[in-house]
Amino acid sequence: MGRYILKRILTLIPVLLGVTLLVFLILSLAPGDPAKTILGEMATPEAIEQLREEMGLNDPILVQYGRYMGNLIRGDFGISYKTKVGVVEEIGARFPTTMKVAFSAIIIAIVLAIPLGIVAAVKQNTLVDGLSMFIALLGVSIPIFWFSMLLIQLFSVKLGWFPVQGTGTWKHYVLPGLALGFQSMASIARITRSSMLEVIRQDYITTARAKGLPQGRVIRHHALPNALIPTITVTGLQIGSLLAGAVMTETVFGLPGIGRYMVQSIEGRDTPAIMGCIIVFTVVFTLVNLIVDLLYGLVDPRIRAQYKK
Amino acid sequence: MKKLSVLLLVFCMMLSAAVGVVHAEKIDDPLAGPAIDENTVVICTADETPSLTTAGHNAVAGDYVNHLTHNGLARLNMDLNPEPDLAESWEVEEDENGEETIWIFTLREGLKFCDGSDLKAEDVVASLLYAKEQPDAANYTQSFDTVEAIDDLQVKITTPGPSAALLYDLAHHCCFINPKKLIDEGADLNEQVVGAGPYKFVKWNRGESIEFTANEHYWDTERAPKIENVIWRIIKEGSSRTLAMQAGEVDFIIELDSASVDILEGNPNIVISIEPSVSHNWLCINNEKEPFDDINVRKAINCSINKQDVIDVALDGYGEIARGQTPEGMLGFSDKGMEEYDLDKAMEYMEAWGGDPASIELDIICSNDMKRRAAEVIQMNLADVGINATISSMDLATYLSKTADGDFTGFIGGYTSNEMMSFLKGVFLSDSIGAANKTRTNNPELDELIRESMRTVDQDEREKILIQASELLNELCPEIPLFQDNYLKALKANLDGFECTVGGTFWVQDWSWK
Repeated sequence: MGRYILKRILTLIPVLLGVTLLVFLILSLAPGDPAKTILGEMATPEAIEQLREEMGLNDPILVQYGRYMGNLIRGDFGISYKTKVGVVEEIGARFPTTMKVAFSAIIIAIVLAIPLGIVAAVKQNTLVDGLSMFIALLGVSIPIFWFSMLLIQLFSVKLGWFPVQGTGTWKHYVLPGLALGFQSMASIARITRSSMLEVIRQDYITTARAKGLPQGRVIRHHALPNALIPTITVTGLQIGSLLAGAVMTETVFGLPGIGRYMVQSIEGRDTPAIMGCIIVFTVVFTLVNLIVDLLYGLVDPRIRAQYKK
Repeated sequence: MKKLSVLLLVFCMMLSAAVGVVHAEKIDDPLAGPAIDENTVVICTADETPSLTTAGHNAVAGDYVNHLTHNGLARLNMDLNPEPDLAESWEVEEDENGEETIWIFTLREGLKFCDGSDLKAEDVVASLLYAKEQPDAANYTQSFDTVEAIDDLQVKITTPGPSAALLYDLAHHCCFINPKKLIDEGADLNEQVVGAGPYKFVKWNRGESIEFTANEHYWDTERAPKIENVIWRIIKEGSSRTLAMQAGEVDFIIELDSASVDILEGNPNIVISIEPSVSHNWLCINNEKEPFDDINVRKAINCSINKQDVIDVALDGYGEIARGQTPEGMLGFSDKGMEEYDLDKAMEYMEAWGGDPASIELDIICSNDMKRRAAEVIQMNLADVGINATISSMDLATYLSKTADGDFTGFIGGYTSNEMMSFLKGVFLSDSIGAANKTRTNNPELDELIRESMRTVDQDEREKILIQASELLNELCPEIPLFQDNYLKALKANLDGFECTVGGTFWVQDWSWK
């Protein structure tokens, strides 16, 4: 098991090398000059040239990449072109906010989605099924931006239950978590439903019922564990969507997160900042996939046995 | 499935209707008082400053916060004229060539930084020389050559020639004063924010807020802060800023969304401030490219565009028609020789040019939605005279590169400055080709007028020269002026003392709660 985890963590190295090289090349070859963007329209050619020299932008791309990777190995993500502050410091200040929003979103999504999916499957083709899938369809269809505005209007402006923007208390994360989690909830609920439908038609479920086991026990102990594998996969994949969706919620709710920081960095061609965000997202996504794989083992003894080999 | 789709459609319509009701109803009773308490004002803005240093950025968002924590030898008053700030007075002396290039500034006595240390002439010298080395400050440090301390209170600044721009540059945040000690130590001025402004820096929650508290050492006791604490809240999204104001969480919005004016208007607890600005916006035409090098083509385009329509569509009506090639509201503005929307005249200019309008290839580059909306109106207007314009949208970085390099035929752009000389120098002086002179105007007569204005220290004389330059520009028509947008701000009705210059500057230390 330990070797398996180590092996998976080591695969991060080629993934990161590939991702950083690709992103660095794209950023370097894209039109637009970071120095011009920073100094603005009033900048003189001399000032732009001076800044380009200071930023090392006049060196060949591969030299710039080599320098960047050399620093990265030493844990130095570089200095943001725009703010002239260390990227590690910038990301460090924002990462917890994004994680808090993503975490609250995934909790809300799971807590709502799995019961919704199970009920929809068990009560297939009834009003309950229709209603559950209607809610799921809403989650997929409603744009996060619009839904966020709606939540603010109702819960912040009208009812005054939650703050419109900012961080500080748990209340600040409820509406962003709900807005973000609603969409993920929809995907998870739909996959849970279809997976459950498949499982409850299996012979061993019929056997369990034939033995006279109560419906609740059949679902909880026999059907659900086997139906959870695709749900776990989709939940893991949703982490990626949550990080992408965080850009929207962070913008609407005025949250100082990494998603909004990355968008601002892209607008300003702030290469070190963009690279830093991409690396963090890559690591998070890879680690989430690893956790998902390990969770398979927890719910399925057959997979657990394979890890031991 | 069909049933489900119908249900979904109905539900979405109901939700939309609910939102519509919420909007139409208007919130009649948002929290009227201060968002936090009477010792605090919460100011909400769209953009976060890239830096708290004074010379390390050239961002409007940074200019606001620099004005809280720092100050310079001079400051601009409500009419955008320089007046003494840290300097009590100044005198201009002639050099050995008889030119007025030596400026002696006398500092006020007893000046202190917010940490309690004395502010002396050596701090001014160190700050100005430091600014001169910073690329971000390059536009505001060319007006002086040398800076020396005569004694603790007197500073001697020499200029490359007689300079009317010096005082304006010294009032810019790039030339604000920092402690010599910190500069000499190579301290990170973004971390150690020490100035002599009305407020002092407390805390920066990156991406979220910046906090300030009153500086007890601020020199101007008559204008000392009345509200002790300032929280600078960053909310990127315009609708969210409005919602935060409705929910009573912020007291002041610097950039109110034009779409939100209707929502907040009529609310007795909120005041909407709509003030003219000197921000000049135009359809920039590359004067080096055919057929735009022909004055008749440029004038035909100018007469073809209905600027009020552009304002209505792009700015929801919150702007004024730009009536000249230079910004109205600045010293030296003139609308003489500038023509208005007139299709018959446009056709006359087209005939004078002699070419086929359909052969004109004009691609209008835009970097945001507002510019795109303006370009769409222009595209329709130009079709009336037979010009088939196209529109290209691109990100800001690419837009800035292409427009600075002259790799375009047209784009929607603008320029904001606090005074006419730097506007003319940036936008029309031939030396600025490759930078902000994006029309690539190269006219020796105009260059000479701009340089002469910068050499003319006497304001009345300078105004005459600037008017000549404005009128010459109206005649040359290098760009197509569109509008000067309004500053839209929202504030709590019981927040007193708010005033804003046409340059967008306001002074928080003058504010108080009624």
